[in-house]
Amino acid sequence: MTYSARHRDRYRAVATATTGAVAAVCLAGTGAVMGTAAAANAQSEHDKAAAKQRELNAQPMINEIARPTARVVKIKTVTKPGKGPSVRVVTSRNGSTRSSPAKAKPNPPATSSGS
Amino acid sequence: MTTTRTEQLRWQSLGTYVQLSVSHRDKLAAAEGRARALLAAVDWACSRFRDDSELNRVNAGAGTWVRVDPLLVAATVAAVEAAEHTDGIVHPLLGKVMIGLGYDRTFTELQPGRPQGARIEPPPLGAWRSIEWEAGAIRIPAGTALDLGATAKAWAGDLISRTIAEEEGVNVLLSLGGDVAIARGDRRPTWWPIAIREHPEGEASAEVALTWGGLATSSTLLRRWTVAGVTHHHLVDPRTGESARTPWRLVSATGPSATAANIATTAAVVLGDDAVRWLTEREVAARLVSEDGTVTLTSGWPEKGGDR
Repeated sequence: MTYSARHRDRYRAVATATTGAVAAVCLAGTGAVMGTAAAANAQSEHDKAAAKQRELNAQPMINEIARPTARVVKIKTVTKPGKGPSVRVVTSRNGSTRSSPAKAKPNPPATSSGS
Repeated sequence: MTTTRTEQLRWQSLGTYVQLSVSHRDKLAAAEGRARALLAAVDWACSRFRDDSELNRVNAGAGTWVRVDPLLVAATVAAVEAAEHTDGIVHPLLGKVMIGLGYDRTFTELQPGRPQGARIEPPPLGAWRSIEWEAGAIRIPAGTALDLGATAKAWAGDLISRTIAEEEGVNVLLSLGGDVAIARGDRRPTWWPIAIREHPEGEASAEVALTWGGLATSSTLLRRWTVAGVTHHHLVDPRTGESARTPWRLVSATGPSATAANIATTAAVVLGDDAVRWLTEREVAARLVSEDGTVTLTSGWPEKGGDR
C-alpha cells in the first residue's frame, strides 16, 4: 500500500478538523467554567454586600457630623516605625550631663515609662 | 531660636497617667480642656473595660458589621497598620487571649492570686488581615476580639497633641502612660526634656530632649499580674498567646509619631533577641535595657549629648 497525496491531504484535513474541534470544545469549556465561576463570585459578592447592608440597617444611624470627634479623626497619624526626631541626651544613667536644652528647665521633665 | 516649655499638668485617664505641656502658658487651660474631652471620647470608643464602649459592641458582634463611632474606626485602622508594619507581631485581635490570661478588667482592679481561666489559643498571625471597615462601621472575624491596648494610647496622644497644636498654634507635649507625643504649632521649636523611667514614679535612668515626633517606652516590669501562681505581663506574643519571653525589661524608641515609636518598642519586646536587628533595619533610634541592666543603643540614639 502506498501513501498517496490523496491520503496525505485527507489525513491533514482530518487532523485539522480534529484539532479545531478539540480547541473549540476546550475554549467553550474554559469559558463555561470561567463564566460560571464569575457568576458565582458576583453572586457571592452580591450576597455579602446585601448581608452587610442588612446588618447595618438593623442598627441606628450615627450622625457623624454632630460628633465632637468628627474633625479630629481626619488627622492621619504616621504609624510606620522609622527615623524620628534628633535625640539629645541630657543625662545618662551614670549621671554625666551634656547638651542640655537651650534654657534651664523650670519644671520636671515629662515621663516616658512603662505603664 | 528655641523656647522652653512653660507648665505641666498631670492627671489620670485611660487607666494611666497623663502629662500635658504647651509652649505658651496662656494656652494651657484651653489645651487641657481639649485634651480631657478627647481622652473621654477615646476611652468611650476604645476601652476594653467599659461595657458601653464602642469596642465592646464590635467584639460582641464579631463576624457581623457593626456601626461605630469614626473614632474607633480610626483607632482600628492604626492598629491594623501596626500589624502590617510588624508582620502581625503587634496584633490587634488579642482580646480573648488577654482575657484568658486574666487581664479582664482594668489593671488597678486586678486582684492577686486569681484562679486560672481557660487557655485561649491566639488567632492566626494573619487574622488581622480579615478586619474590614468603612466610614462608621467595622467587622472583625468571628471568634476574635479587638484589643487596642498596644496602640490606642500612643495613637490618642498623637491625635490630641496635633489637634491642640493646630487649634491653639502652640507646641505641645502629651505623655499618655509614657507614650510621648510632640506636635508643633509654633514655628519656633521647643526642646522638650523627657525622663525615661522604669516606673512612672521611679528614678530616671536617662533624660533626653526632642522637638517633634514621638518617644515611647515599653516595659515588662509593670502591668504584671499573677494567675494560679503564674506571673504574666501585658506584652503578649501573638505567636504563642503568652506574655512575651524576652531579654529586655525596658525598651525606649523614637519615631515620627508616638504611635510609630510605640509600635517599635512593643515589637522589640516581643521579638526579643531579634529586636536590635529589626530596629536597626528601620533606622529606629532606640535604647534597650536587658534583664541584667545592660544598655544597648541602636545607631540613632547617641550615647551622650548632641543631635544625631
